Amino acid sequence: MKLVQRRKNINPQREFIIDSSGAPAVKFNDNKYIGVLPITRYQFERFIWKTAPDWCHYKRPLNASIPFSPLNLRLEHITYLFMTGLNAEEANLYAEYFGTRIPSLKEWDCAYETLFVKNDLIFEALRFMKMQNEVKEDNRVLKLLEGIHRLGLVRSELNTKISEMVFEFTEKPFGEIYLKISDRESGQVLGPNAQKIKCEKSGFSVVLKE
Amino acid sequence: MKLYVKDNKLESSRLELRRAGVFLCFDASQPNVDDIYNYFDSKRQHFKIPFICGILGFEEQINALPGRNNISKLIVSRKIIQRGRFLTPIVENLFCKISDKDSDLVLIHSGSICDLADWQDEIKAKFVKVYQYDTENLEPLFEDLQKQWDHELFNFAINDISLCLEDGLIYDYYPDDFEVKIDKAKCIFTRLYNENYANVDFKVYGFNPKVKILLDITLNESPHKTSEIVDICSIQPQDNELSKVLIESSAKEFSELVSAYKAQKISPCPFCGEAHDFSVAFFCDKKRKHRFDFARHIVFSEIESEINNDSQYVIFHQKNNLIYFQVNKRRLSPITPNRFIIVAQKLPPIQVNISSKIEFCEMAQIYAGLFYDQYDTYVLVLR
Repeated sequence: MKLVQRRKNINPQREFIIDSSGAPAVKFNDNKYIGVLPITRYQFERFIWKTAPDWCHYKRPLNASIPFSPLNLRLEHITYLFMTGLNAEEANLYAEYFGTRIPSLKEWDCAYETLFVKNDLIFEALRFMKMQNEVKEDNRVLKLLEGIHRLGLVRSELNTKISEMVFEFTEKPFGEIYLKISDRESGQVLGPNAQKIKCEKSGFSVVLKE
Repeated sequence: MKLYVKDNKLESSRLELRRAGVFLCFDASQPNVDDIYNYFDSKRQHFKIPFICGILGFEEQINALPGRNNISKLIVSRKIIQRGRFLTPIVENLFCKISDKDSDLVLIHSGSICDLADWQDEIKAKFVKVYQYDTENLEPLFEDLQKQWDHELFNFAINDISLCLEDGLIYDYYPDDFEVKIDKAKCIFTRLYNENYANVDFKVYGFNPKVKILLDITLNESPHKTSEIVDICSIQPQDNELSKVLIESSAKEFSELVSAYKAQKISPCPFCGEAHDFSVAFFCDKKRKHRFDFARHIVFSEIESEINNDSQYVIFHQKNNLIYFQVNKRRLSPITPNRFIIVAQKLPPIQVNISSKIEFCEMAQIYAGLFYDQYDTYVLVLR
């Protein structure tokens, strides 16, 4: 857990940390932590100015997002707050920079079933972040969490808001990436070709590397 | 417009009037980045204002260090252009270096700033004004931009200043080149400036723990000339032993006297018992010329206007923290500073001629005990 900045138990069942991108992650299995939220536009911006990647003109991956203040969060804005429009290679570069990786399907299922369907996960993560007084980055993620909590959204609903597609992955890299809405819906299977494909309506989550 | 107060308790207080500081954030894709920095740096020196500079997408402050003209090299080496137009690194790392409402934010960029909307609340709380220059579709010459900034940002001049002293003040020293006048029971100092900044040094003594000074400053800020009450500042009284003793011992009695005086504008003169319309004004200055001019102005202008034909005067001086009254040229018993207010009020009516050597004048409330300067001789003016 090389990038863990701080950790604190909120309750015996859930343990949170704030990762180096400034977003909360929750423990879901053994020593694995997964981001409470899909990767936000704010985290990706941090990746851009920290790494200044040559491959990425910064406006391109952000084109799919409309900037607005997290304080003015409304339900119809939710889609724009999470990072979409990346291919698998770019998503992996992001994940690697912050010492994370994209979850496997098995990990995603585990996190989804054990954590994301819980209604209080957003509130617990928000409470945890507010306790970290010394954290200065990323204040916008905190505001976003407050907005989501204010709107009464639970974590599993964010997937639905971001995309209506379901992806399943049979091999690494797990391109575009993670969304799971229900077992009834079938999804597009993406393999290595996903590196070349962008999906405008999907976000992604990461787990912290062990 | 920004007012800074530096309070040196041992010497004097200083009011520093400045244009608000500049917090400059510019886009590294701009041409002439070195010129932009140098322009604002020179303005900072000329206006003597705080200045912080950052590059969008870059969290470090650009300092006025040797080699500052090589911002272009910095941009290349740190790949700043690829970092993009993001304000967040600056917000997180540099906003904390300025006080709230201390500076204007100047944004110069070519194209939209991706995260500007995220920080509107912080910007509103932190800065006096925001000046934004998006040059994406303009491609202006740097000289044109300079003219625009000269007109919009740095067309700042202080035309004149007036300091109005609230009650309970004594000026032991007043700023050079200020004209003094009494208006509406206040002592007002005015001076024409027409400069980009102003420093006003003075000493203030008073009976209140903090003394209010009302500043009225006429500015020549683009596009209109405006006059406004800028600020009210509080300045601690000077902390020398004598004034401290006087202030502590006399504060209560003085407050009561002032309250009583304000309650009944027409008060019986403690010397003659007749009702007089006391003005509220007081002046003291160690500078002989100023003191004499002021005294002459107060006394003779009143005599000339025939509003003060029943004035009476008491000559006294202080020595070794004791006050010696001289009535009809005869020295009275010394009175301690703590007691002199009361005793003065109990003095019987006296008749004293106008001194040809007026060194100190007071109009009405001098008997309330507002003077303390030892080793000096004064004349009380009682009406």
